[in-house]
Amino acid sequence: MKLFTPYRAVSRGVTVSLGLAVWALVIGAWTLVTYGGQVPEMFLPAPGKVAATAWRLAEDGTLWEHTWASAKVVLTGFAVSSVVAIPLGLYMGTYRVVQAGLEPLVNFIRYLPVTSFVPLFILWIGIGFQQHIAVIIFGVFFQQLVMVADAARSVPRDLVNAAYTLGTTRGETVRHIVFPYTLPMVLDVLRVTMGWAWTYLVVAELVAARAGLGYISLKAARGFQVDIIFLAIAMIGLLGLLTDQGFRLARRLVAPWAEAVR
Amino acid sequence: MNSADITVTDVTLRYGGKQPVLALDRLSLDVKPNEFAVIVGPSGCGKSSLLYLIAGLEERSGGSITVGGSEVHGPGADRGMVFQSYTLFPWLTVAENVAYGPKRRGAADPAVVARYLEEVGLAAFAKHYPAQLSGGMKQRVAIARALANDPAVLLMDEPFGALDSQTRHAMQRLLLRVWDHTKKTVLFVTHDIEEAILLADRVFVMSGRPGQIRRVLTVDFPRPRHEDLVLDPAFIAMKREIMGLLKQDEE
Repeated sequence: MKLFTPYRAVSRGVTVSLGLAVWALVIGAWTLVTYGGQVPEMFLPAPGKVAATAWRLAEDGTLWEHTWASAKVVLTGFAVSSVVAIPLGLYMGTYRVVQAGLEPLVNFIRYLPVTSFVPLFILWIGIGFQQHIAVIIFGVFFQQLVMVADAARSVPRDLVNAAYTLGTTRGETVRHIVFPYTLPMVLDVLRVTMGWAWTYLVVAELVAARAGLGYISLKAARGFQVDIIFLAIAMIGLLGLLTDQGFRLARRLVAPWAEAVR
Repeated sequence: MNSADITVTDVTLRYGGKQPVLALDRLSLDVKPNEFAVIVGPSGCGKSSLLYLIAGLEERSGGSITVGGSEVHGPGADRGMVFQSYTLFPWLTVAENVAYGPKRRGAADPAVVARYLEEVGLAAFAKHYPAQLSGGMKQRVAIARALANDPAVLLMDEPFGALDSQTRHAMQRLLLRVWDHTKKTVLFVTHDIEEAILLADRVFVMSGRPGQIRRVLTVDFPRPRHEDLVLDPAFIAMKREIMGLLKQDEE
């Protein structure tokens, strides 16, 4: 019963095998209901069918073409958003005047549904790549801003005071104290919002896309090609998992001190 | 070695807007160069606030504070400070923490860092991160960090307040040894009467609400002082006197 002690660490072996077991359970259930004939093929394709489709599209290159198109949209939108949101968020969390100015507007925009802005973006930017990344930016920027500002606010006052007594000036505080202190938290914000960026992909490719995973799954839905929808979803999930691991690795490399707890 | 006097004249501190609290009322004190001065007072008497005012981390409502003859306007590297909470920079190693102040002035010297780490007995932990240290070790690094920047005065705000009593005694011994080597002016704040007498050349006894200096006692027990001093009748007499002064406040 040691395994069910709250917050108690479990071994690496247990962690990995439990993770795999849950996946096996889901795929097993999926196999059972599809090959068992409980669910019509039209609604839920068999795992073998999805795998065959994946193989076919991977071989003729279309899978990579669409994956790359989507990755470009998500990564560009995410990068543009992060480059602005991180410094602005740090200043917003550190300086009350910046917070007082920005917060009311940001908190208003933050709750607006991204989908309702799609027609506006088309009107303003036209259709195509820029409009697609605009959706991603709109989806993550304001969330990033608020979360980074929260991280900056969490810097202990006496840490800043100690820096002052060692000769740090007010103007250097964000760069020398707030930025390094919040770096692991900022990387966590990026990791979490990267996941959200992937979830906005289908919305981004809703209109006037000629390539992308969102685009092929929307197109497949019209032709009842459920296997392709499944494939697109699986690809988005895999890419999300990959970027998530990437940010975890980056955090370990860039902020090893945050892991160095006894 | 850099060492200066502190002069506080008629300093007043008021908090809050509609119902202002008078935290310090025309408080005056002076600390001589190389002196070890201790402020002892009940919690909430404004002793920490006074230290923050001298450090320039808070703004006084009135009066004058000079360190080494120049008026305090805001924080500066001439006044080093050790805080009650742990304030090491967690993203820097122990050695990098100690080197932080000199580096800001463009005067990083590995020999100075090594010397102060040696002084606080942590040379072997130079490459550790603060998260890997115990509370007492963190405060030792904080002392080394403040001293490596060669300030004119060292302000200490209940630096051992969060430590267990054994570590606390070891830290007091260490601080006295370091002070003996560096001869910095030290202004040390505590609510522990024994700690105050063990460390101080002079003890400033504060009363609370509004904070004022109630009495100044000169402690002339010879140095180096041993912990057994606390059993000495003269020590006990002084302790009793300070307790009596602090008790007046409660009534």
